[in-house]
Amino acid sequence: MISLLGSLVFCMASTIICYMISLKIYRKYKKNWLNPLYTSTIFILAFLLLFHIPYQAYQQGSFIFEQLLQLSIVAFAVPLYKQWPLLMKNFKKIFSGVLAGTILGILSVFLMSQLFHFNHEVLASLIPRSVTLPIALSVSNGLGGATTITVFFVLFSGLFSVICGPHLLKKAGITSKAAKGLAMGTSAQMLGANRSLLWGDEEGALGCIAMTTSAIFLSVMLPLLLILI
Amino acid sequence: MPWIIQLCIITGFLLLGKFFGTIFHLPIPGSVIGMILLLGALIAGLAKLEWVEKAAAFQIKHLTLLFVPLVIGLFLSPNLIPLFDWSFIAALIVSSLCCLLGTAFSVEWFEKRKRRIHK
Repeated sequence: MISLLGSLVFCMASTIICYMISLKIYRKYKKNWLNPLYTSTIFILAFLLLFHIPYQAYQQGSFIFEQLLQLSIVAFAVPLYKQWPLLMKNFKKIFSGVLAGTILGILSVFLMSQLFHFNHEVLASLIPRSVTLPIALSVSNGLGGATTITVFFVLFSGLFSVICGPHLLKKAGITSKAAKGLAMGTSAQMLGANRSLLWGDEEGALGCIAMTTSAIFLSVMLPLLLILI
Repeated sequence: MPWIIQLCIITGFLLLGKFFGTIFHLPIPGSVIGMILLLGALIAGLAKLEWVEKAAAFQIKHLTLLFVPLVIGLFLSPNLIPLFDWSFIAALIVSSLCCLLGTAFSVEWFEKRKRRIHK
């Protein structure tokens, strides 16, 4: 019990301190590659390795962050509510676009899984790869996926989409503001919503809407996916 | 409203969502049900934006912090190296492309069709 409490305090303190340092660095130099996610991960890893702290001591305490992650999903109701008028105005466009993208993504995952003979765990972790991490984790848990694999898949596809997406959309001749914002939000979730803010306010707002709605669609589709998988 | 009470309200909606999920045997994550309930309450006017606005904005602003332990778990996991399998990478790239271009083209198609109807 004491060791659990100890690792909880240790995990929270080290993560929050490293995050605050990273945030300071990010705000000072304002470079994209100094994203606090990368720098604080490097800080904590270095800290653990340097002082020979067993990884279990850190991992045991990290369940508190999973609980907070669930809270933050509920908090997403607020930005969605603020953009409600915009969402209602473009309802059909957003609905058809996000639904088409999400379904095409899932279909391609099923096809690739048939082609490469992935096992059930990998397939279940691949399906939610395009939605925001907290929801992807709960969907993958529901389907029988593994946490580490899901985190890797979500981060990889998010980074891939955000790095190659803008260029590809330009090559494909997509010029509409809504199409760009929605596509980035659906395929690269948070990273994409942030990237589409660079194009302008409308793209950014739609990117944020696409991120939240695609996550809701996927969670609502979960019963159907459970039958298919 | 003080932010600690705002946090309690958000937690209340999370618990409510989990409760709903359990009694109705919904396979949808409780947190998503909680978000839909909170959104519904805000739209219906049952809850005011000021009740949750500050705490929610704070949580979303520092969402990155909550991802850090997950990424560390990934890096220290013995399963990391086998994940760089070319078949996984191919599947990820193909499905990301389908998702990205599928959304973009259907929105573009929708806008073109709408314009034609208006003409």
